[in-house]
Amino acid sequence: MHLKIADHIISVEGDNELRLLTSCRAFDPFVVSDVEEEWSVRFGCTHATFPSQAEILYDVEIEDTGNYCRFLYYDGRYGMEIYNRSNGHRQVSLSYLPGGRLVEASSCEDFSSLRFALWFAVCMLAVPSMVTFVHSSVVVYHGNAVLFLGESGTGKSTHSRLWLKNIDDVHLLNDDCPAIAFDAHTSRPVVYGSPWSGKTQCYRQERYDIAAIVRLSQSQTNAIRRLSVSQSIVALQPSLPPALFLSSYFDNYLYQILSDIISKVPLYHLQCLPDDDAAILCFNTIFPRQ
Amino acid sequence: MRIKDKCKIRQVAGESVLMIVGRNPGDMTKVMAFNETSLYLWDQLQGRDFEIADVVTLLLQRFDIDETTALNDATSWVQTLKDHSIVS
Repeated sequence: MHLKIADHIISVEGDNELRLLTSCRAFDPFVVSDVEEEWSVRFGCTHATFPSQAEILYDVEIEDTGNYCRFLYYDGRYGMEIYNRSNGHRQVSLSYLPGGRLVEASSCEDFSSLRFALWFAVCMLAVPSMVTFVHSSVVVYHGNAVLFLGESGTGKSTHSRLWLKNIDDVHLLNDDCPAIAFDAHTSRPVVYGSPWSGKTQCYRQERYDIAAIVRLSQSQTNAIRRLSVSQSIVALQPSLPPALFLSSYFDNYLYQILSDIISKVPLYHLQCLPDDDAAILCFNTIFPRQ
Repeated sequence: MRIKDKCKIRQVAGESVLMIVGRNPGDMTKVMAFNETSLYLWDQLQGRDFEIADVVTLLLQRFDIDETTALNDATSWVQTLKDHSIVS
């Protein structure tokens, strides 16, 4: 199966894994045929056990799954494994040689682990090409996208829904993990839908210019302010793939991506209630009436 | 003391910043913006052992200030680095 994500072609291989992935509709809009792949993710081609002296860079629970994601560096390669902490069972592991176009993976029978592993593999392949996922909910108004950032539970999805309810000609692009890349001609950042959209089934093969990026925080009142460069870094950095910031290979690319986004797109902080006024305030600030 | 090898100044959107990224979800990312003087001290001191006296010397070499001012500025600069665990 070939997937087109953020205008890059990824070949995903592994019979059982493809059966699992195609059992949900998330990937359908991204499947393409008769194209040559740039990158490959090959499941079932390795057992990828990591040496005991591997350096553990990151080891955190994957939201709501009970599984942990461990990111490692060993023998010049990066590895990732998803394991269940209570029974120690390993769901899947990945291995990537920096600069390569292939992520080798073990076989995987657990759907949520497989989805996450494929996301992580695409992250490793894409970031050195200046493409990254951004943890956010994205709405589109007249061809211009607005990304809402925030820790889980802040109300990103709620705020997107308030835009859909209160503002005409708005649609949802993605509710959890869109991709950002840079236009080949203008170098401006653009946002793409993806097969990873959290609990909302919103899988769109679409691409838009970015009008603004807004970090949300809960508050008793609604207020919005434009962020300085330093504040923009603090606002945006935690929403890029956190594990890769702990690698001395990937972090250089991520900082370049961060820099290029902040140079070209305004960032705001919106402290807000989950109400209509919050959406209207945010909309009027980003798209002032002519 | 010595600036930790992992601490790198980066150019982000035209500013020189040092980022301290948390290892765990929920850890705050800290960003320190560097002005020209800080950047000068950093460039001179990175990769070697130094004391406050070295910072004073660098400030006196570069700026037309008296020794007391240089000592105060050097002490406060080093304290900021210590507060954020940038030197060991």
